Amino acid sequence: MIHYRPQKIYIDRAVCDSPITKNILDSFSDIPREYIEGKPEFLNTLHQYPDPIFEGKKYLWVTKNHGKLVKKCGASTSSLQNVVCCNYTILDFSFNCHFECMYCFLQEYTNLPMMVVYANIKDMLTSVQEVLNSASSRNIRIGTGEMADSLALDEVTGFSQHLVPFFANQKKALLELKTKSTCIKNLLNMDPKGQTVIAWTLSPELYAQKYDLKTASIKERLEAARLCQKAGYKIAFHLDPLIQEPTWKEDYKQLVDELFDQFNLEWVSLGALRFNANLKTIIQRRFPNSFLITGEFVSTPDGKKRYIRSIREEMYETLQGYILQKKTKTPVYLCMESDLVWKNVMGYAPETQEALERYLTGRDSPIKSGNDRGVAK
Amino acid sequence: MFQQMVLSSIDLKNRFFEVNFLPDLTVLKDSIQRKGILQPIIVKCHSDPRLDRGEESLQIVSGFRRLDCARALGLTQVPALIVEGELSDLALFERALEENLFSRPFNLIEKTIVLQKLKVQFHVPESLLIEKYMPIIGLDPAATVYQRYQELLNLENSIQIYIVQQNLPLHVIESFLAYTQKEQKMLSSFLSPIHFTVSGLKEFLIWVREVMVRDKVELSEILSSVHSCSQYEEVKKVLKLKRYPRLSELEEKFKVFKQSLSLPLEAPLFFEDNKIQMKFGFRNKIELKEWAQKIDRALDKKELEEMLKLL
Ligand code: SF4
Repeated sequence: MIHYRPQKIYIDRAVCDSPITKNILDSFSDIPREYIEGKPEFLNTLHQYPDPIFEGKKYLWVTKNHGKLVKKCGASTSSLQNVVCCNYTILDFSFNCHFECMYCFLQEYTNLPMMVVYANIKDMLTSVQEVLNSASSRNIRIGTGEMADSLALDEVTGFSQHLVPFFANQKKALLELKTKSTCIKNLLNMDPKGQTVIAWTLSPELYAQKYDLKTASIKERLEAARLCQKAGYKIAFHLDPLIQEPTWKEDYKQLVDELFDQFNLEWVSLGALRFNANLKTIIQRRFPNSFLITGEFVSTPDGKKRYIRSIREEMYETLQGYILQKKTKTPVYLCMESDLVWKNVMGYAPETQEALERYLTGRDSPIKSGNDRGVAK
Repeated sequence: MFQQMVLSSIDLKNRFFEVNFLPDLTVLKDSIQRKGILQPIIVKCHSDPRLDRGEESLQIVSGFRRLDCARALGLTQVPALIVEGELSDLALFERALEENLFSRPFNLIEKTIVLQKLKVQFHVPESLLIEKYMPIIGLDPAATVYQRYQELLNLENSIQIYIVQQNLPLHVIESFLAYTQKEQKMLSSFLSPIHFTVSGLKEFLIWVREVMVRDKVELSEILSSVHSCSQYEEVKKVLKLKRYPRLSELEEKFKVFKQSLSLPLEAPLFFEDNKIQMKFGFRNKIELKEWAQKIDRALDKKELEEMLKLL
């Protein structure tokens, strides 16, 4: 894994006193810094760089998130027909990631290619508290890994030291920290009281070597997961994106065997590779001749390119088959898929977001409503 | 003041200031034949290392196309303006650019030549080149755009010619850059006889490249599978089978079943959904009854069962 080290830090005066800012400045005491109001000047010079995405990540902007701090995940607002959403809630704590996964959708945000950390932690916790106060559900899942890796910078920012104790003191929601890193040092000294799930996004080792350019290897991720499990954290895995390499069947079999033989998992998600047409162009440009985009991708109703449905279903069915062989009760869900795919693969589609939410938090079994082909699964 | 200059006194081989690439001289030649050269060319005195010490030749600053026409037409004299004074080569090049821009737009390769000359011959720093000169030739002053134009220099000459002849936009040209020069040469001879639409050409270049990467095959192998096709539609059909084998198979099977069911059925788009659509019209009960009978007959056919399994 390659650790992040900026060339320069811009600090918004509005967050000078934040403990997050203090941690960052202590960690990078030798790096030039500039206190600013408004956006860093650097953003106006981006057009001078041939690869602004790469260049931008050399700069870290510590600022305040003025927008909505807690929001619903993209699937709940997706126009994919009958998309099954797991009612995920996102806490926007950071933006961008230095790990350089070839398929990462963050590459599309070309107007803000910097690394951004939102340091107004107090506001964030207040917003989360408001969500908890107004929610009737006790199965809320709140994650930070939507616009950044949840832990990639944790040893620099110390976010987890605020979030884990906060969630440990309530019973309505689970905090999910999603990562491809091994930055778990802060986690090991805290008691999550069952309210924090650390989720690693995984793929077969060779795929990670090929496509996750600066992340921890799969072996390292799994070692970190073992340590977290030992320290009392719940563990989950996201097999996402599933990539149809020529040997995908054997590769994923090996991966599933390794996971279920060693861990008690909270949930596992499966998500086939998908991207916007614009991202395809970016991938082509930044990583010419990549195998990644050569699959049978077609446009789907939400504008994303996905493998043709029969391929996705075959991949999900195969992996689900491997998982079923493990005779596990771990909930498995499909990420951003239509109810048709759910029914064809899983034999049912959750009838409501809440039903899926209950299923994932272990409080219910899925509602079986049969599949569209009339085939018993 | 301009003067009539003997053509042989001008060094026609010296192309230091030239930015032309594949100029179309037909119209200009006709005009010169009718009216002569109306606007004088610009030349400067130049000490030529090939000549005896102290001797100077006349170097062309602007008017390359006019001079090429004059030579082709057998003219012996041309009106010319000799620039004197302390103007630098860069200032003269700028002047030549402006004069060119006044009479015609640059093609993409010419824009590349302009940028390259500014960089290599006149040592203009990259930032100045982007900020000052790119807007002059109609380009966005951005490093990404500059880099893209620099990459065009790597295109094989036959592809550069093809691009200019077809007047292709940059987003299509970029697709050629994924190929090696050897492959570009192969492509240019394959592409020339076939009429491609702009989007069709882009699709072709992307699909071929993706099949090469995915299946680890040589370009020659793919081109030989389509070499008997003379129309783009034929090429596309063969290529689609390679690029989208699963989708092509579904579409093909659907087509066969549809024919045997004799119903106006439409497959779901890319088979993403699982609903077949049927659209028909009727003017009276008899026609409607005929449709109902056709549907009724289809219900008993095994092809309908097979078709439904495709979903
Ligand atoms: S770890 Fe996640 S956020 Fe970071 S580059 Fe990879 S996909 Fe993007």
